[in-house]
Amino acid sequence: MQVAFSEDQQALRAGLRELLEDRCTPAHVRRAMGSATGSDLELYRLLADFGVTDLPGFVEVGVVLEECGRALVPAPVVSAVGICGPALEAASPDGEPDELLVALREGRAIPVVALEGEGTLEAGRVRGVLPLVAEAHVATHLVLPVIDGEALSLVAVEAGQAQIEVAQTMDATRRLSTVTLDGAPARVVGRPDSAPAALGAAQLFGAVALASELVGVAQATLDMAVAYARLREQFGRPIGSYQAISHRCADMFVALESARSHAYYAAWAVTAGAADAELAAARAKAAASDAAVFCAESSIQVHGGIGFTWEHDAHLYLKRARAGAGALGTAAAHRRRIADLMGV
Amino acid sequence: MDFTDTPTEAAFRDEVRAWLHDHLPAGWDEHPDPRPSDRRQAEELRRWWQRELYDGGWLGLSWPAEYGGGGATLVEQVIFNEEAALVRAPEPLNVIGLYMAGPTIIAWGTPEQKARYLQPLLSGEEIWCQGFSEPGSGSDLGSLRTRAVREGDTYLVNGQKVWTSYAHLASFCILVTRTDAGAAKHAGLTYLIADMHDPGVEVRPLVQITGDPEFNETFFTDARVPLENRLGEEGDGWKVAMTTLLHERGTMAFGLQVGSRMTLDALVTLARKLGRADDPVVRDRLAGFHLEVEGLRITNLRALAKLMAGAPGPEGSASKLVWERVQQAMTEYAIELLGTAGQVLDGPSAFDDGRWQYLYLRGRGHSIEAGTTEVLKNIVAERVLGLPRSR
Repeated sequence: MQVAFSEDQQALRAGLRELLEDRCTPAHVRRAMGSATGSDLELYRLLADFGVTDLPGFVEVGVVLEECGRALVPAPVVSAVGICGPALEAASPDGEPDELLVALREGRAIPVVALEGEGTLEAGRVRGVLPLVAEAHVATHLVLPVIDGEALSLVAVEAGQAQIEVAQTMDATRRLSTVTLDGAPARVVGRPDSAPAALGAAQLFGAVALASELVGVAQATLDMAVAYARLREQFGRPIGSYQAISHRCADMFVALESARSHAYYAAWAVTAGAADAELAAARAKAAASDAAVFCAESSIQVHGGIGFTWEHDAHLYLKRARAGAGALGTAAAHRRRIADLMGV
Repeated sequence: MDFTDTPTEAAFRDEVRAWLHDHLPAGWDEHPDPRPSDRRQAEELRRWWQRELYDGGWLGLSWPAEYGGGGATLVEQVIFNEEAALVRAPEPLNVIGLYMAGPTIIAWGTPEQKARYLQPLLSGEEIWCQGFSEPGSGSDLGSLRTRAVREGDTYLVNGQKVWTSYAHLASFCILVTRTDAGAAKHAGLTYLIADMHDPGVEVRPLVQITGDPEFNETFFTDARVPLENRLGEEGDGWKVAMTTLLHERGTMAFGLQVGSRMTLDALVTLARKLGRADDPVVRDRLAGFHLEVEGLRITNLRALAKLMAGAPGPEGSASKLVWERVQQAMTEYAIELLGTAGQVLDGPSAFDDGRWQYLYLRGRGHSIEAGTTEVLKNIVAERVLGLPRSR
């Protein structure tokens, strides 16, 4: 039992934090937010060069995504590395890794997976409308569940072959699209019977990936709130000396630490294939979703009027918290799963 | 980050599991919460269990062997705690000794004090209690007024302590006194080990809202404490007391979480008995409790890394905040699920022998004892987050 991060994992965190402090400041996030795609693909390439697309295990993915959340990385790292990657791995469990997985690891492709609805496959061509696909508009490939005759399959389609309608989203740096396929050429990914396992992996690992990111978001909002409460004076004293403020900050810390515990444990549990991996993932997503939203909302409250303005960064974190909390099952949905798995 | 046992740890876990299986009463772990409801029965069970643990060499597992400990790693201590929790093993009786007095003596005691007190503390032959709070000094511990006046090689102690759990069973009391009325508030305190059998010590039971006299008022009237029973120097009392409190909120949290798991298991069983286990609203609440209880378990594991580097940190206050909240919430929910029967303590309409009513009422104390919610939030805000002092 080693209940701390290894030296390599700590070095990974420190190196990435340094990169992001230089290359992913709030100014960078705002620039991405104002761009046509809401995404910074140059940053994605830098992160791929740094190694985030080819990590030794999912504990490392958790470390990376926590830092990405902290810095509000406006690039499809969660969607590609945290959610689609595990699906591609599960699609070819013991054979050669799928070519798209190799391309993802080498930074040559940005695949994302559609998790709502499914298409139909006929003679190597796919048709259908798949809603709410995160970051499809900046992906190179779309991984889609399709009905192939009777069976469920997973196929890869080049993004250029799909019609992608991007919606404006509350978190402008994580857009959602409706993907329409009208006979796009598709390649079956992995073993033919592996689609359910692959989609399950996207859900399982994806929940942990989002939880990790949300922990980073929550930490950043707590740091901001505390820094402001130490400086801002009203009635002649720093507002952080009032218990109405300081106790709310303590509540944020308590919620965050609980979520952090669940996220760290779950990242290990899904990596190790622990018996309670599914339960751990559900706990992690439920705890982190609630903690991140609570912390981001509290941060705005602690900041008062300035925290409610567009120019202040507090809302960027709230919007990312909501994007993560709503995706791949809300806290309530995961609690429903927990009740099933804990044997109520 | 790897929660997998190494081969050595796995072997140790097997050994613990086998020992627990052989030494707990037959069928012990089949009941969701096998602890006796009667306080005296519970005390006797815990006294017996402490002796079993001691004879098996499981107490003070991670304490140095020279003090009668097991010289084991903290990870092994955790494995033992986990396995004990899984079979719902009872808590040893001498919790104040094991989790508070013992670590404080290890940190501050002289070689003679360690040799004198630690072994009988582990075996449970000598039970300990804690004399910190006073009627006029609750959250503001530093304002305490129990006086200790030095006369030759003895301190004469006069004053009153309150909320002294186990005082009626205890041989010794870790006692914080004021030795210098002229010094600044926290500088005038001295930490003593008082003999509870001294003729100047009187223990009066204090009845709680449960109707049970679980704790006491303790009066000191010219009680004599020999100089050699001082922990640390005269005037070090506040620093020594902080060691005790960090252990109370940190080390003790491991034990508390075990109780929370039992309460949750019993609550799930109650929901089933009441035919409410399929109600989605009920399931949502139970899942929420599971989330908090398990979060506490993992947070405690993470705190290990800090413990290995030295004493528990102020983060232990956050764990205590989670524990008191979930423990209260679970018992509140049990009473709510019971509805009208939530009033009934005995007879055919009672559930679980009135245990839920006891746990519910006892739970009101959880957010007051060992640091109130408000004091603990101050500690998190000031010591962990670095916010300005709130006074």
